[in-house]
Amino acid sequence: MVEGPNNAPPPLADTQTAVSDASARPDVFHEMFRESILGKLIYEWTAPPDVGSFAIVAVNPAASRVAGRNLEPEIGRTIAEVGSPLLATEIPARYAAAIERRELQRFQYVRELPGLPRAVFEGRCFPLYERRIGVAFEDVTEKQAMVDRIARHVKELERSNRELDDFAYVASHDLKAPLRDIDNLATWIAEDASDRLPPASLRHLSTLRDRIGRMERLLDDLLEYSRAGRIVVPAHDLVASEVVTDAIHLAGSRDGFVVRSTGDASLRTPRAPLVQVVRNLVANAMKHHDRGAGHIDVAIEDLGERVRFTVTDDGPGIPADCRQRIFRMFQTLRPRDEVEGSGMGLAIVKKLVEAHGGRVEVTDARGRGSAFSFDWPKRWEREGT
Amino acid sequence: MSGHTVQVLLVEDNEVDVEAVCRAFAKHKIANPVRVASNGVEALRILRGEGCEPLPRPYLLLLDINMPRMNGFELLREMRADPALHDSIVFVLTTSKSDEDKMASYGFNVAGYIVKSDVGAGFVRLIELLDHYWRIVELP
Repeated sequence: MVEGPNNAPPPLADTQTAVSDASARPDVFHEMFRESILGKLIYEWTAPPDVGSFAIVAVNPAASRVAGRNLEPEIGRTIAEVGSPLLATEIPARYAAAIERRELQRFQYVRELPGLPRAVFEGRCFPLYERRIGVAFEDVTEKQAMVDRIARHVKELERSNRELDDFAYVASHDLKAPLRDIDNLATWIAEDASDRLPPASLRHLSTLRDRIGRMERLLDDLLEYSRAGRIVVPAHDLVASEVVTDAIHLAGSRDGFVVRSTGDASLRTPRAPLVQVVRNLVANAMKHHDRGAGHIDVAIEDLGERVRFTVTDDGPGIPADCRQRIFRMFQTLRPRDEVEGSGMGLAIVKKLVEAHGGRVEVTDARGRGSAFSFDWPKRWEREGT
Repeated sequence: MSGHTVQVLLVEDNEVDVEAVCRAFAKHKIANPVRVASNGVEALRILRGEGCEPLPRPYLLLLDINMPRMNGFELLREMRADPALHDSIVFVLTTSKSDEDKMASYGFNVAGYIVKSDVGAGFVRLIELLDHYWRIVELP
């Protein structure tokens, strides 16, 4: 029998069953007491309950094991007579409270005694009958240590994540200032000296300004990535098809391309992140399409608790071995001189979807192209991550 | 409109921004004299005339926040406590979009808080603002 100290007392029906069983088969309950892995004691008290007057009347083997010493010789003696270290704690007062309020009391005991290893015990005491109370306790030292360790790791992870976010934010923000200076300087050289520069230098100057523009976009996208999901946005009642229409509009248009949406669902979630995810996927599908014309479909499926969005294109498709890489920061499948892009679009999609408890998947579309799908919660009231 | 030309004291440690402002003035044929200080200490010296003629009124300051030695806020504190300088017109001109910096600046009664990236290429809108400002506003 494993009985945690935090378990609620059994519901009334079970208690009644237990009582009728106890009168029918008292031996079974004796067995249950003796073989429990929780330390169990029964104390008797003299009225009025004085902190030193509790005397052990029954003890199970686990109690001796957990306490680290044989408690059986102490049967019949009060905790004052035993000189129990518990006297110095609030535990006898909890016993008294259990009697006085006629309800279960919980306690914790941190043992820090010379000659014994430090240990943490958790227990509960409860009135039994007449002048008897029951105590069940266990050694939670290891459990506590593990909980503490996990809490420390979580804290450390949160800290390093926050630091990473801050770093991305500060880096993208602070790198923009000198870049702006470089842009100014390049502009002035062009303004002041373009009639005196040899053609090669003019070309270099133009490439220089092009790269400045590219770096500005990279930094803007990095800034956007670091902000994604960390700004608290309130939830709104949304109609999925309207969100998709807006996102398609924001994704811009490309000659020869038709974007359609099918299906619908209603949601209550923050609007901006969902719009951004759909927009990035649609814009991506158009930008990376290898032909002069194409179709992009956005399908909305109501899954009950969640809504699935699938953006399907008839573009070149994505090789299976690249499907993980495309979601990483600054990853592009084609050189930047061919397709302008920072490689942040899908990284932002992944970050936002995962921050809302979903997953992004990419598969082959039927025939030609790829299908990006993700699911989004129907109700999302939680604060930003 | 005041009878005298408004002097501009540009307190800015980034020489590219200094040049950007000077070029913008020249480009828009604004002849108002511009003095430059690269931090708050230098700005105070110019305002008080330590080792030079004090900056004649009317004048206004274009003040950066992040600077070595004495930053924009320290300079503002110093100026607002000085009876000879406390009424100076100061525009904060900074890269910082932080609300904290903005609130702190207005706490010192600045005439305006201007973010560098919002004034367009070559500080065009800043020039337009100043050009209108000193045409219409009576300066101390």
